[in-house]
Amino acid sequence: MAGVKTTYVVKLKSKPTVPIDSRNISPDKFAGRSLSDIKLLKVLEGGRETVLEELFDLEGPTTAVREPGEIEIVITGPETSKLKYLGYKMSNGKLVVKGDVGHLAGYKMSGGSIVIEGGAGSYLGAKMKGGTIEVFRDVGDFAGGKLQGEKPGKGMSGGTIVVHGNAGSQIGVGMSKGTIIVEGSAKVLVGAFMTGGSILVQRSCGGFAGARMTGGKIVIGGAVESVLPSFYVDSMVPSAGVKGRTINKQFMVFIGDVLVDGKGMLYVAYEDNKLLLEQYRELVEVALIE
Amino acid sequence: MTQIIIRNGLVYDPLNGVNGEEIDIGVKDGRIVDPSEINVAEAINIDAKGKVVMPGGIDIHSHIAGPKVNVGRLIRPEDHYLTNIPHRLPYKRAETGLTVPNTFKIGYEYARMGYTLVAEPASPPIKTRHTHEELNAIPMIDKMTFILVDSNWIALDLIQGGEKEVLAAYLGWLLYATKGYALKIVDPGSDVAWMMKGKGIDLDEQIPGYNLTPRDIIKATGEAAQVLNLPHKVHVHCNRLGYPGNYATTLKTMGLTKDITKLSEKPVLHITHVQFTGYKGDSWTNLESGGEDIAKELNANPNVTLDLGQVIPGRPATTMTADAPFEYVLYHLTRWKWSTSDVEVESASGIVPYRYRKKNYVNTIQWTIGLEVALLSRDMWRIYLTTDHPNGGPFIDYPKVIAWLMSKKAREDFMRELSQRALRKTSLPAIDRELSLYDIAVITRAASAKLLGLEKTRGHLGLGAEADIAIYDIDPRRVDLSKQYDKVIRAFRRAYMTIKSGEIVVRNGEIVRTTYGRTIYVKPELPIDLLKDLEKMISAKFKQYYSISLNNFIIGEHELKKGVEVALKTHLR
Repeated sequence: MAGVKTTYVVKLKSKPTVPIDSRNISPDKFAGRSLSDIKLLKVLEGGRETVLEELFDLEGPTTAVREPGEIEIVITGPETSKLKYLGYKMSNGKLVVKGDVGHLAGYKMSGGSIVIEGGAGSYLGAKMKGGTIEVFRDVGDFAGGKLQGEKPGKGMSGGTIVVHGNAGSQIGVGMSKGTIIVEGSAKVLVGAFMTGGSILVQRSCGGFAGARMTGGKIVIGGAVESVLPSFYVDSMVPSAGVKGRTINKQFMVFIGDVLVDGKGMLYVAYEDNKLLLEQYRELVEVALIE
Repeated sequence: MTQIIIRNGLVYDPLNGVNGEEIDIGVKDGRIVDPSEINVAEAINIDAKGKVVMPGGIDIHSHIAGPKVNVGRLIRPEDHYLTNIPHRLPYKRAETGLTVPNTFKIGYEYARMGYTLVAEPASPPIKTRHTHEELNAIPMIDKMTFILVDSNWIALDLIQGGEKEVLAAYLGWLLYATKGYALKIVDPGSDVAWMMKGKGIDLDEQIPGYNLTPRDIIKATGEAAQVLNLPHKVHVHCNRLGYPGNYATTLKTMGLTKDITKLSEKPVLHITHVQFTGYKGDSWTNLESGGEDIAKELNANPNVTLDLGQVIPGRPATTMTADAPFEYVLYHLTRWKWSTSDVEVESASGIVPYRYRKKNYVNTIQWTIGLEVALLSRDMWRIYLTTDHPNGGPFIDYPKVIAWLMSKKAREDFMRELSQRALRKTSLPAIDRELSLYDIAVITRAASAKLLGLEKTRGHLGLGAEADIAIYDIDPRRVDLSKQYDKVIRAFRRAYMTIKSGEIVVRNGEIVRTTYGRTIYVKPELPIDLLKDLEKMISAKFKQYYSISLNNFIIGEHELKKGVEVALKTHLR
């Protein structure tokens, strides 16, 4: 049966008024269960405990295959943005959402893929260990991040997040490994507290990029609001990129954050930030002459 | 009111000398009565066959309320993730948190373990209003709070002036004004030294600005407690806590009992969380356990009592203490986050999250010290089980500690996960002693009630006692407690039934009813003329030292949800 996909279609019956904890809609939970069993999986509607079939229409084969990697779940319906915790701890398989999703999609996931054909809320792929997430529109804050109060490095530790729209603030906060690619712009504190991994923002971002980072790589392909004074300028390079995505522009490279003895790399597009970076240019050129 | 009759249970009631006998227990109007007084037709009949019946547990040292606990909650949001349990109205509120849980969880978890009375051991007088607000919000258990007097400027002035009577009267007034139960000394004098010099001090070093040493403070406060006839005498957190080699200071502090004039039969000093003050060696790298020496001193000196402050490796903890200089040191060891504050006139405090690691050399030594002290002491009536929640570990791990004390196999199984280099330096692997259920009933209930001076109404199942009863689903006749220790853990973690003041609050380890317990405080009777002089002195000192007025300092009886006053006849003339 390898390679043969079994597809389930999960459709919201009506527009939800409260958040729905839908962590059980994942290939791992569906695997090896009959359709009638799947319909009885637990769902929290607001604070109320209920079963899947009360809120969703399910279509698919009567018995799911044992291997979660061969299961694809398509989620549709009005206002899927109320669905939280989609793909929680999912290890394999595929989730496709035909619309927006709420907070904590792909939280702690370790494999498989999630495709969101709309936007996503905050904490997308927070603490994820592997797998891929693709979002076609905007995402909220803390994508690939750690939770508040945790130590640096407790964020995303593997896998890839690709956002075709814009991202909110603190993306990749405390991440230790993995890749985040934002094709639009991002808000403040990109890659704060990160200890490894890489982040690419193709367009502009807010201030404080890389605050308190100790390792990893951040590439900003557009205008930045500021570069922290705790970053040392290192050099100029003709292009920069992450995981095969290269931007052919002149980049200025910074190392920091020295407040925490960091050795993270921050690449900032030179031409888009000429006013801000001119003062550093001299330093780089002096270093070259010497 | 409800009538309950518990039949066929194996009763462990050390204060009445009952060791595992099948006795029926009757409960009527919140008190324990003779079973013949119960109207069987109306009563709730509980068949406790094959189950253990004990008095409700008493925890003498657990930081459950007060400003520092709240700050701990604020700086540790990660402590609350994935611990949320939704409410089940109308009988249970929502729970969250592990090392610094919300007030509801504190009450519920204690009740689930069969505990019914808990003492909050450190509240600076000026902040005690907050402590009482939080205690009011904790359901299920009865509670009390100890008042910090270690670096109180007014007390220090009086000690320096040698005015013993006035000092005793002042401390008595302070206890009643703040609705406290006992006096607590934390690292005496160190908060003054911390503020003036930026360091902590040892037992015989001089306190900057005063012609005093910590030894004088402990002695003077200990004597004042004797004069006031307090039910629980002085609760001492020793100097140099947390530093290698501090067991010498602890031994010296324990030896202070002979300098204090005894006016009652009870032990004079209580040394708290002794594990943190039992380190031998002169640096972290060659740290050794001082547990043996402390147990030896404990066995030789009948006037001192100890609680363990056992650490739980593998669990997160939040250290919070009024010992600010030590928290400063600990922050620089952990380098994560830290909160510190100074309380005007009275104290200082610090909070640092910490995790005791299994493979860590120092943490393994710490783990052995508490157990060594407990297992090497001959008199179980002067030992109390605590983890200094949340400093050594959360209180929900008491069942684990009970298992370690009751079973050598439990210790050996756990030792395999620890640092072997550390274990080679301790005597714990060679100790074969295993405590019995009777001993456990002593160190968690009977002895605690005795220490707090409540042995008449609490900690036993005799006639007239408060109907606080815990029933655990374990049969010592069928289960080999020293081998099947996981069953011990399971039984003590979730009591089969907990009865609080004559009402069933826990059934099968789950809350079935939310009640609110009482707050117990003392009122020492002071002679009227002495009180007049005292008030004049206090109002002058308040104007000089404090930023608030005296009227706003005193906590009224109406501010306690259910206050219970314990009137004391003092030796003051």
